[in-house]
Parts: sequence; C-alpha cells; structure tokens
Amino acid sequence: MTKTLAPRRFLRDNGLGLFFGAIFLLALAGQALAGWKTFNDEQLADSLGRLSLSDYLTSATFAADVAENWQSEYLQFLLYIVATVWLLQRGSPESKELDKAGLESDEEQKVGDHATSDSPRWARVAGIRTTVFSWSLSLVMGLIFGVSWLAQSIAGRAAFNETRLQRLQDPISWTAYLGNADFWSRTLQNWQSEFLAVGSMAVLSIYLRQRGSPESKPVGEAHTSTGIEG
Amino acid sequence: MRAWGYLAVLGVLLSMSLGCGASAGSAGPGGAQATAQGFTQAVSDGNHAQACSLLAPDTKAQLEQGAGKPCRVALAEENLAAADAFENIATFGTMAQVRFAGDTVFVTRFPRGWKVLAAGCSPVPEKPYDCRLQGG
Repeated sequence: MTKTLAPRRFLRDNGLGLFFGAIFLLALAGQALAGWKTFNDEQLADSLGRLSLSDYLTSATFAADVAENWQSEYLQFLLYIVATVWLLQRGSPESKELDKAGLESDEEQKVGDHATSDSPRWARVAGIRTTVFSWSLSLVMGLIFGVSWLAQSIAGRAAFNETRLQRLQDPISWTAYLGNADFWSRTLQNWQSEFLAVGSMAVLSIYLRQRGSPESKPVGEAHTSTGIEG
Repeated sequence: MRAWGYLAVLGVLLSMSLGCGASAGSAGPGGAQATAQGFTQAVSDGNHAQACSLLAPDTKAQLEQGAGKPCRVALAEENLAAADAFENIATFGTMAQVRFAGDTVFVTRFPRGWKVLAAGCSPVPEKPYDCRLQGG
C-alpha cells in the first residue's frame, strides 16, 4: 500500500518544482529548434553555410540567447528578495507588514539562541556560518545572475563578431563589447520586462485576487491589508 | 540542492560560450586558415582553377557574373596581389578573418568545410573592408 502511494505522494509534494522543471525543459527544447531554424534561414538568405542542430546547440548565438534570459530572471528574483527586506508596499501580499522593514530581530528570524530544535544547523551555530546562511538565498541567486551575465557577455560577443565578420568588419574585443550597444540592448530589453512584471505583480495584488494562491490575499481580505497571503 | 544543479548547467553554458570563439573539429580555425592560405597560394601560383574551388558559391557566382567569364579566367584577370606571410586569425562561429601581410581574407564554414567569402580586402575606417572579391 505504502509503495504504490509513494510515487503519487512524491508528485503531489513536489508538483510545483516538477511542473516548472518540465515546462522549462520543453520551452528550452522549443527555443533550440526555433532558434536553429531562424539561424539557418538567415544563413541561407545570406548564401552562407547552415549548421547542424548539434553545432547550433554549441553555438555562441544559442548560448547568448539562453544566457541573456537567465541572467535577467535571476536578477529579477535577487532584487525582489533583497528589496522586500527594506521596501514595503501598502496593501500588497508581496510586502511585509508595514512595521517590519529591515532584517528583523534574531528572535523573529529564529537564529542563534532563538533557534528551535528543527532549525537548520547553520541557523543555530551563530558566527560567520549563520551570517552566510542568513544571506544564502540572495548569494546563490546573485552568483547565478553574475555567471549568466558573464556567459551572456562572452557568448554575445562571439555571436556579434560572427555577424561583423559576415559584414566584412573587424571583430571587437570583449571589453569593447561590454560598452557596445548590442550588449546593453540585449541586457536592458530583458531587464525592463522583468522589472515591469515584478512591479505590476506587487501593485496589482493589492486590488486583485487569485482564489487559492499563496501569491494572493484571500479573496475577501481588505485591499488595505498588507503582508497577508492566501 | 537544486541550486547546485542550476549552477552545473550554468557551468556547462559558460564553458560552451567560452569555446564559442573557436569551432571544433576539422571544420575549426585550422581549416579556416588552411583554406585562406590555400587560396592565396593558388592565386600566387597562377593555379586559378584550384583557387576557384576554394571560393564560396555566392562569391564565385558574383565573380563570374561580374566578368561574364568562367571563374578561373575572371579570377586571373582580377590580378589579386600575392599575399605575404600569415599574421593572425580570428574565428567566431561560422566565420573567420585571416590576416596576411598586405591582405585580409574572410572565410566562412559550410557543412563540407571552409570557403573564401571575400579576398583582396583592405580596411576602410568605420566601414566594412573594401574587397576585390566578395559574395553575400
């Protein structure tokens, strides 16, 4: 009985992570196929050679397209995680209660002497390990953002130079690419959409509801209630 | 734990992007340089049939259409200056720029190998190179 229920229970207990993991892989595969076709259509239009799918998957063009979206998504969540420590939004379930801005007390955060028996070990031990663990989510998100943005700059420069050589122009250095409009166009077009989505989520959730979602206030909760999730 | 999985994927992505400057295998930068040197050597030797075989299809077509003659005849009449010593190569994806003393050659990768896209090229400030021979 327990054995047959175990897989179903695993799916139920991890549905959110599994669902997004699955649609991530499907979307990445779709991006790869669509990007491959677009790349080869452009090559054909310019009377240049086409790439096999495996060559395209290891190309700078694909790497830059993937990395530029990854960096912006991780930046979005990094900023949201850190900004909501100090910045408030009256009436939003995305905000903390209005008197809780800041890092909060050790008691509220259950660290050091205030840790409970089931607190993670690094929350109990105090010192540098507790400090690192207190910031670990932001540190890892920030690290992934930084590595993705670096990957975007390296792959983006290679893809940009491939186009420049097709136009019979000299390639440019990585440092020159960091100041180039192509790098900032790729970067900022992603950032603006992420900032808009997060900002509108914080504000729209003041007045709008999604019944059953922890990202929303309960349907009947007052518009003025802050920091209450459904 | 999942964060480490993402980091591993990112590591692969980064190493992939670091390798993007140079292509792998026989179609890599060595092939690009060999094609460019083979072309300039064939032109210097007067072996224009061999040089024509190293041209990209569109470059060859434009040369023939412009001159109204077969490639080897048209190429001979171009009187391309003989390239001197190889200086350096820059390879990005399907494209490479091969510099010789006194000439720059642009080569592009097809499934069957590298071909010359443009040759006899001189730099023009703020603009594309001015090439005696070019396609695309």
